[in-house]
Amino acid sequence: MVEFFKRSMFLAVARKELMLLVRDRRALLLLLAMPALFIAVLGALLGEGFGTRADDRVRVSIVDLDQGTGLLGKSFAKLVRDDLLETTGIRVEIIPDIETARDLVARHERAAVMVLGKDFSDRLKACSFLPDGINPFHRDGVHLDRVGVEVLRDPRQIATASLVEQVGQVSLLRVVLPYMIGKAFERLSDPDFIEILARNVVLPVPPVFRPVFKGGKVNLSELLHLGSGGDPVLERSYRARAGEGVQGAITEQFARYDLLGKTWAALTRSKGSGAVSEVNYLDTAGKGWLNRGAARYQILVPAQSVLFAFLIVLLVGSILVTERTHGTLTRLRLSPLGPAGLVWGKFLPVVLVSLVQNALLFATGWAVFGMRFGPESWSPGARLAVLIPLLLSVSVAASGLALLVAAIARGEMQVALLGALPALVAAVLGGCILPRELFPESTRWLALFTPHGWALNAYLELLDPDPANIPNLRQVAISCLVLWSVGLAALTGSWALLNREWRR
Amino acid sequence: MLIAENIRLVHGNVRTGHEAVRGVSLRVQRGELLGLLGPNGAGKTSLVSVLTGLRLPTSGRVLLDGQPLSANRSDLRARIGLAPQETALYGALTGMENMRFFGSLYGLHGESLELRATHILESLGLLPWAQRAASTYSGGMLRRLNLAVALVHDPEILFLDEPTVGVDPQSRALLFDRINSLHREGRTIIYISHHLEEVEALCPRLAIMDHGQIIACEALNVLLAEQPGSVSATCAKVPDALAQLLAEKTAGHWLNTDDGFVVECLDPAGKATMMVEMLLAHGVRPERLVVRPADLQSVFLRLTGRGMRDG
Repeated sequence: MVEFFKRSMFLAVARKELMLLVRDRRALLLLLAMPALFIAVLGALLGEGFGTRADDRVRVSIVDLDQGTGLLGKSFAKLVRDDLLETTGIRVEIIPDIETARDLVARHERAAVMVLGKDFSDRLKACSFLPDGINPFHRDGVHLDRVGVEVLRDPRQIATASLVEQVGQVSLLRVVLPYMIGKAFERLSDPDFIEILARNVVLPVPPVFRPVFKGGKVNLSELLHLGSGGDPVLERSYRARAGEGVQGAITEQFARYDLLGKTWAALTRSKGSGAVSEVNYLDTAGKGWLNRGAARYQILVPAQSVLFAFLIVLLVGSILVTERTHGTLTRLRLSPLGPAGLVWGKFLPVVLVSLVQNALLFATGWAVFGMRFGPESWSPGARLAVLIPLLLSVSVAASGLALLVAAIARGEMQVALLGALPALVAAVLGGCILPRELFPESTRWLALFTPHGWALNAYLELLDPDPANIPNLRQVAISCLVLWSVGLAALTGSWALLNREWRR
Repeated sequence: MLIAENIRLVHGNVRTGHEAVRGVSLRVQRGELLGLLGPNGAGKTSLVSVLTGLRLPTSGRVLLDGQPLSANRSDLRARIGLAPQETALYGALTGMENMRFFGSLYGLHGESLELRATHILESLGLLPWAQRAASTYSGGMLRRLNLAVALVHDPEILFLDEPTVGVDPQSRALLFDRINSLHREGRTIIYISHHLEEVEALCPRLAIMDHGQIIACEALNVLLAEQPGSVSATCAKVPDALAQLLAEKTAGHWLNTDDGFVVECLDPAGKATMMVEMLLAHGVRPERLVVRPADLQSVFLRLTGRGMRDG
């Protein structure tokens, strides 16, 4: 009964605070609408690469339509992609279809896109030094049309497009040439080749053998026939040995190369530089004047959400300062409410307002800015089930800290100095104002000393721009735990300060 | 009964801080209406904060019906109502919502709270504006609402700190009526004010504070009786010997003026007849006689001095 009484008192304070907040419509509007407005402005102004580490490597965009098989269980298109990946200074982006590629080039967002056709592997397999094979080479490299490759070029970016094409040409050469050499070298043991060889190796007959061989010359074919005693099986065997002998001799002569290898790495007996993974194309630029759906919103919305969540200190601090200056705190102190009742009574509505602010921001992010929540493989319910506890954790931390500042501050100026300035510094360190990727590696760990940093870590885990990425829920849970700890510790601190004031 | 025993309150460090209250002892009887007077900085507000339990005294104690008042005794503090000098209200809430909120802090709720809030607002003439935001109230209405909120939990002891600051005569009259009726209902009231005429009109007993101490605490008539009034006579010049005789007879002091003389003495009204008789007996016919009994202002200034207290 006593508990209920106490509870109803702090609920009365909470109700009163909500009424005061709701009736100050201008403040409420600013509180809820300012972050969204801020995001809209930044979203429209910032570049595609906002929030990502600057990447100086040449981007080679590829559409892989290859349906054939090539070597080592991979299609030749995959071999070309692997070769590009292992090339220093190159990053490979896979675009899912040719329409998207055309659209990107038409919008001048890609200088060039290489389209590896569906018969790319088949055509490469048909490439040969033999007269009946496809000769893919010309002076500058590979005839792209002969191997089923198309390069989509942006006429406005000719230089960049040429660079991308040259990079592609080099990789094509590194795939086609070893393959053709390997195939040709295999031909050395082919019966047809040995026949040609045997016919063409003509030697003078020593005088002692002239009774056996008519005329003054003998070719290798006749020698092999003679050596086998006319046994056709033995003769084939001898011919094969001749082919192996030629291969062996060439192999020994060119020991630094594996002429049978068929791949550049095998041919040159070299190891790759260690391929990094490809990047699947994501529509990171967005559409319309708001750049709806742009990847930047996956960072902007949570960053601004965290920034504004912790700026709620300005509101809460003012609430308590007003109680002091208007004398209502005296009345509250005289009542049986107690400091705990006041702290909880203030805390709950602030958490609620903060939660609404954050939820509205994310809803706006989804509805207006086209941002996504969680991986595509998750149901909407599962995404919300992770997002809502995180939103609540941020609100608890922000509200707790706001109340702590409110309990310390004795005037509006102190609220601003004790609340806004540290909140802004923490927001910078936490990566809410400038992407953390812009900071030197040596200073990024400072983010973990701010609740902003923990909150943003969890959000970014959950709002990865790549819809295929599964968030590390353990990381999210740890962040939530840290945020709750910060919030409750700050709440305890504010209670202790008010309790001291109450009992002085 | 509210008893303050040797209250001492130091702001800040106990040894180096400002000693706002210096050993004050005070007894306020149940149902009494006590006026608390004092110049600026006398320590009234500090004393009130101790008497209401908002501050713990540096030394001494406050007893409410024999029980010590402390921060832990919310049951005792709930028997106290305070209408602070500033109108401690939420401007964005209506008058009724202010009443409901502060009532709910004392465990009141539902119909009983509604009835009580309505009754108090009505008695203070605020019911027609009960649903209007307090920020739209006039100064007088705010003062009345300030008192209404202090009354919402039906306190036994009511502290009214400058309750008539900035109000018009109508509101003041209404507040006086209400305070008098609260007194008649048997409520204990401590009325803190700078307006001496208000205290004089309302409070049968006064405590005058200065420099953190209570320098007088008596019934009003006793205080006034202890302060000399004056009798001014407009007449021809009175010989010094006669003036001296009058002063001796009235146990007062005399002073010649341009148009007569003045005698300052206790109970001037009671001694005026005797003075006239003596003057006539000595052939002096006064044209006009003015009797000025002692007033609170003169009492106050005599006790606290005429020096400014702005510092």
